Amino acid sequence: MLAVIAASSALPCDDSLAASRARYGGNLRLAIAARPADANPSLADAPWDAALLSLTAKPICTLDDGRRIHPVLASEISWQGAIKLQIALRPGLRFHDDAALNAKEILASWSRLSQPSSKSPYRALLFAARPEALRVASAGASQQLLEVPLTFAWPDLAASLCHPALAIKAAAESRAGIGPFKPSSNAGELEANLGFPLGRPFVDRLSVAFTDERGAARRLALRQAQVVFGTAGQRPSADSPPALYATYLAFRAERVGADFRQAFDASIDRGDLTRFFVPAPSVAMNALLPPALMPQPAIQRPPVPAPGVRRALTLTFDQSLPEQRLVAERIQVKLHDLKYAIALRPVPRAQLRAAWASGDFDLMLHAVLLPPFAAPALAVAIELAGARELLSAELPAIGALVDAGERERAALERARALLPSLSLIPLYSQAIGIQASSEVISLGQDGYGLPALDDAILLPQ
Amino acid sequence: MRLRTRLALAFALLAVVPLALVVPRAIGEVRGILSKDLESRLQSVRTVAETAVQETGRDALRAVEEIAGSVALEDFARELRAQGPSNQRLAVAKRLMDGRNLSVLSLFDAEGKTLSSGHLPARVGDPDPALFAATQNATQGALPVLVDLRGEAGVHRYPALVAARSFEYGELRIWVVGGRVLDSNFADQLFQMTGARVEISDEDGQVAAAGEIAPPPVETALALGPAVRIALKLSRAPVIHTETVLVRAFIALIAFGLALAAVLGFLFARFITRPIDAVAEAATKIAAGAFDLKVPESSSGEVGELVRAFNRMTAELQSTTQQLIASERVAAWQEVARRLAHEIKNPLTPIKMSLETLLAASERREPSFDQLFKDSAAAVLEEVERLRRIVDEFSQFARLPKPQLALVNLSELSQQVLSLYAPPREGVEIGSQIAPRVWVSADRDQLTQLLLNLIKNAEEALEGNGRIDVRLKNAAGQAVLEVADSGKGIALEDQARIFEPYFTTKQGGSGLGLAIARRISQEHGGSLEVASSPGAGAVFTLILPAAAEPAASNHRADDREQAMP
Amino acid sequence: MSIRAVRAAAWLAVAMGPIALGRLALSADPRPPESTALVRVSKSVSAQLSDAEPPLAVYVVAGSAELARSFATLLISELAARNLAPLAISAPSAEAAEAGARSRGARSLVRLQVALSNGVLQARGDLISTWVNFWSGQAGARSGRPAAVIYASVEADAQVLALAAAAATSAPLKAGELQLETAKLADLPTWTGALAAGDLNGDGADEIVALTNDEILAFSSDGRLLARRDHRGLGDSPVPCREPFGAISIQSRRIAYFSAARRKGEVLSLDAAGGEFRSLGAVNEVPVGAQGQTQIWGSFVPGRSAFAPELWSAGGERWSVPGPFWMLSFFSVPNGPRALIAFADGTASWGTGLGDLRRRVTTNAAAAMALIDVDGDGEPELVTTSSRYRPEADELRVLPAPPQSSARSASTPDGGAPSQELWRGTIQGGWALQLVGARAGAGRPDQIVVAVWMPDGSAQLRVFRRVAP
Repeated sequence: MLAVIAASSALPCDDSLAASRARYGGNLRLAIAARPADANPSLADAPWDAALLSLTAKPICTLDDGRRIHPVLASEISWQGAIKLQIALRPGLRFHDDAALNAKEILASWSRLSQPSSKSPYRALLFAARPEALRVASAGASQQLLEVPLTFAWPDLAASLCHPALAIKAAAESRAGIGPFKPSSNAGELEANLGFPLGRPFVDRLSVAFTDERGAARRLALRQAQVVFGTAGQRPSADSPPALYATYLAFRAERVGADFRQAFDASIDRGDLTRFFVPAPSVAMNALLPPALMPQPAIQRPPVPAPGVRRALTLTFDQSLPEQRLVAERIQVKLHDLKYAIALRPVPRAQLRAAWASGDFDLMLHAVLLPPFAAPALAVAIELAGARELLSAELPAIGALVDAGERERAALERARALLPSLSLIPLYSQAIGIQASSEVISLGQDGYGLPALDDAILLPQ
Repeated sequence: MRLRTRLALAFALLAVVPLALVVPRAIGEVRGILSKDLESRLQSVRTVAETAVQETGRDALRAVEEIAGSVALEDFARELRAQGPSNQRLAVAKRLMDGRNLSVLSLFDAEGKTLSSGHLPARVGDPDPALFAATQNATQGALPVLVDLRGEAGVHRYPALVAARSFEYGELRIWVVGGRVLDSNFADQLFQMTGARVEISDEDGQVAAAGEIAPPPVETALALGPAVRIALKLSRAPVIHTETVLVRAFIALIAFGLALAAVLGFLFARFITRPIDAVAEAATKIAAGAFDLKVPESSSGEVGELVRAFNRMTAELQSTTQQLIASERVAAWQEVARRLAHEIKNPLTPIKMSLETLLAASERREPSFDQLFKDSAAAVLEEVERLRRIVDEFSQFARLPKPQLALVNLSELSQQVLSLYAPPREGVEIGSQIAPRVWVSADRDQLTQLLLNLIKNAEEALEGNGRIDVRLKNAAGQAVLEVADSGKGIALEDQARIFEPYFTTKQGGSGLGLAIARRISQEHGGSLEVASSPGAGAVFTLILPAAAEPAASNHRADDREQAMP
Repeated sequence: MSIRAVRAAAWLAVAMGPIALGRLALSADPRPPESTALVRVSKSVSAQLSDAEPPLAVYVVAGSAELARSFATLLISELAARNLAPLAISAPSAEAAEAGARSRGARSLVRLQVALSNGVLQARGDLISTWVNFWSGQAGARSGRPAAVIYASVEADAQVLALAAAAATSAPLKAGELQLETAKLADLPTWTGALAAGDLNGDGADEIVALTNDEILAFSSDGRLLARRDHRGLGDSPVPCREPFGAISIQSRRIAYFSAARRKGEVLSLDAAGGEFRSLGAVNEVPVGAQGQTQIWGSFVPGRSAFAPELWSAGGERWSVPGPFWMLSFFSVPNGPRALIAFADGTASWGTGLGDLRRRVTTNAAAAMALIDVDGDGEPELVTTSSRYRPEADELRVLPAPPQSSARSASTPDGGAPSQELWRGTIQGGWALQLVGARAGAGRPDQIVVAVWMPDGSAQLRVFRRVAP
């Protein structure tokens, strides 16, 4: 036995805590500096909401940080020609509540986006698909094939299906999806889902606590939390997650007057707006799509329009996002000087979405998670602007381009051309602010810049 | 106007006039005292408000000086110099403001750009010239300025009292401008101290107000700088209330005097005029025929004389009237007897002639005697029958029994009579408009007789074709039954006599039908009138006092009516 | 880099266009390039010599005579094709070669040194003129400078490595005397879950078998793809593992394997032609390893990349090791430690056999460790990679095997003892997660085969082999 002990010392000994393979186990404590999220995936308009949602409910596929598609609930996603996508579902999948996942749950999850009660800008992701023609090609005992026929070629559909808003849920408000974690019997705790098709997460459990920004920082400092979402991090740099949560000021052109955009551009500097009022990581958006997707042109500040009659407008925003309040106040104060009397109306997110869907607003701050591909992102932005009729005019020409790079270029070119005609003023885009203690390694991110807590490894202390 | 009233008014007038002369004068005096008191209260309110404004300014200055010397501001300046502006320091001014009773606080750089703002965080990065202007006169105490504040409804400009101090950190110069908004909180505070309504206004109008007072107000105002004005208003309502109470008391006094005088005057006048009233009442009754009335002769003097003369006059009037009635009655009976004799005489002639013819034939032994006998006997029997009828009717008229009153549904009865009478003669059409449930207190048989007589009379008035209309209605507590025909009408001179016994214009009529009808109507306390114009038919109108509908028969009556054709 | 990148390549096609690229991307075919490293480097050198004046004398030196001979042969045939009239010169030194060339009437001479260094095959040298002016006599008339400097390098392959290793002796070594060289054996489209070596065709050299989440692949010792088989037909595991993981055990030319992504394992053999796998049936137990002639079976810890501590043999023997483990390595010698096990908590133990594994003796084990006779002396060395998780640059270390006794003499302070380390080299580009020893032939040192996970989700098999110093 002595020989054995002696030999051990001959091994390299650089880091006694790490191991060459991922370590499993541990309870990862997560603090979120925000209020608990809505369970409805199409309302996950804040980064931490989508991040939290994606722990327990995934779409049929996900994007990695290289924008590559990984089927999750599907075993294979393949094109049958240019206008038909075939999705083979993994057999035997079960929701967290043990209900079986079938093709009809997938269709139901997708069609929820278009329902009148929860109409969502994310339905533009599925614009090319013909929902009425979606069908289950074969429903054998082991394999289910789902065929998605398209009205026109739209090669980005497969990537669009990976959007967190298309997370598959048994019902819109249900907590039951299929994700790397599942709800535990203890409140505020998630446990590893051993049956997750991509493999269980490395940690055993995830304790989730909702607090404010100060509380989150304190928890991190006191080691009560190992990962914190929603704290102010650093400004985005080249290797930081893409800031894809784009916030727009949507307006109703007939109510705000013809020179509103000019007045806005003349009085509000997006750089200042972002720098002063939006917590990092965030970046100003001068173009229709955020800097992660397209280069931003410099904005020529137009002359201040001649003040006309005093115009009374209401600015509706999401009451659960503190930065939207600050931004709304800034807009209120700055446009006040140009004779716009703007009343603020903070509403819950579901109500905001309903107001958007019915067009019942003058001005609205609206955040959406854009896909990391220019063409579907453009579709979402157009939908958000309420110009759905433009989609059928714009998308087929872009989708007809086979080369991904060409599609990207064409989409960006259209994004530049369309911006002045859309009832939408881009403001800023955000990524999720994350801080993690040194015990957490391998905390990756996906193509949406969302943290992949299932990749995280917790080192023993 | 009656004498009694005039006397009462005269008494009242005498009581009111002195009061009306004294009261207004007294009210005027009291009003003067109250206004003076209000004026002095207004003055003290103004003094309190001025002190409060100065105190607020001093507090602001103290707080701003404390901030300018604070470690927190030094930290802020250091971070600012190191990192430049960012959202990390958005809340600095807000934190500095808390606990210092400031509602306005901005940190400016040397050029007047807002570095952090506690009252309007959205201003960060922008200049705020209105507020920064306070740094120009920083040596003076607090200054009134106008600051922008935002609420959910929009941005508003409020007056504020602010003080400014600068802070130097190396080459960095930071201005601290803070103070208190003269908003509704401030107004409310002033209201709590003074009890006066406080209205703060700038050049655009009112920005804040506190306290509710009842109108109308009296006002005094403080001017802070050229733009800001604080109006303090006290209510005149208590003064007005006191005045009102006083006036009401006087009015009540006058009203009471007036009422007392009126009552006393009335009683006194009544004592004087009671005998005159008795005479007037008696005269009215005498005019209606009560000739045996005597007014008590209790009074003396002129009034007693008047009563005695009146009584004498009444007695004479009574004896004259009785003589007149007796002679009229005789004349009437003479007339009746004359007509009755005439009626009886008429059949006697054919009887006599028949019997004479028979006798002659018998004597001549006429072969056709048997036949002749038969014919003559028939003629005699016919005339005897006629005589018997005349006598029956007369005795019926003379001995019409007292009606046995009972509740009768006149509507139902009219329908029955009409249906009994149907069918009318060829060429005659009978129409009816009968209101339901018209009840009268009557003798059913007599009333049936009356209705039959009227309808028969109408039918007889029609020569050839024509129309009879029977209408029944309930009007003002009276049952009104009209029987109208479209006959040739009744001559004006006949209309007065048509109800007299044995007056008839028709061949073969007894002349008693309408007389009996009128007699029945009178026995029932009603009336029967005719209206006619020659050639346009006649309308007989029976008016009877209506009776209340018996409760028990209500429903049955309804059923019956519905069942009627 | 996400762990999921390993599955990425297959789906890249879906993301990028409507053209169905089918199953596992053909673009990532694991076959080696058509031409070998020696051919490519000789083509490159001959291209640089195309302006030389014929006849051209060729002088080549290398670490091993086999390598020099092979290269010279290839180069001469390339030069002949270019009508440069090459002729081979053999001489004890470069100076002697110049004289030899002159004496053979060559107009020019290329002198090349061929070497294998860190997985790269390099040929470097110069071209000089050997023309003798009639008037100048026998004295050297050329200038001091070479006419041209020749340099070519390509990535080494197994063939080159085999040639370079041919000179290595199997004599016991002192510290510092061991020299290893590396070459890429094959590329794989996705990360590997298990790796094994064993003689599948009876030629005495071990074939390499690699397991990915979708396929099992067999390579010859020089990196040729022999056979591949899609194992997805075995059904999805209800509790799949996040990382590729599995076990392969080769005994008597039969390959037993079990991927953690699958519901079942399978036993295969390579058919006689050596180009196809034949299935011999499915298995429900995990072939963790083979101790001598005994096949050891075990099971996975559900959902985790580790084996459960309970092990058994077909003969009914049962063992229980102290905890879940990553790998188990056996080496059959009569008098040394024969079994090595790396536990999932980062510790490792070794002993004379499974029954002797009772204590955890180190806290910094690597997932890729093995007992391999690197120097060919018949005694195993301990070969290990970095014990850190995803290091910047992974490394391969060869350490003397723990001696049977006299432990104290070998004990050194923590931090490692360079004098004890027989060899250390870096593994470029990725992280080594599996490591096996493969016999190169009778009486020759074993090769070390390492499976490297590349950050882009693909994998590489690299071979390390002793070469002459």
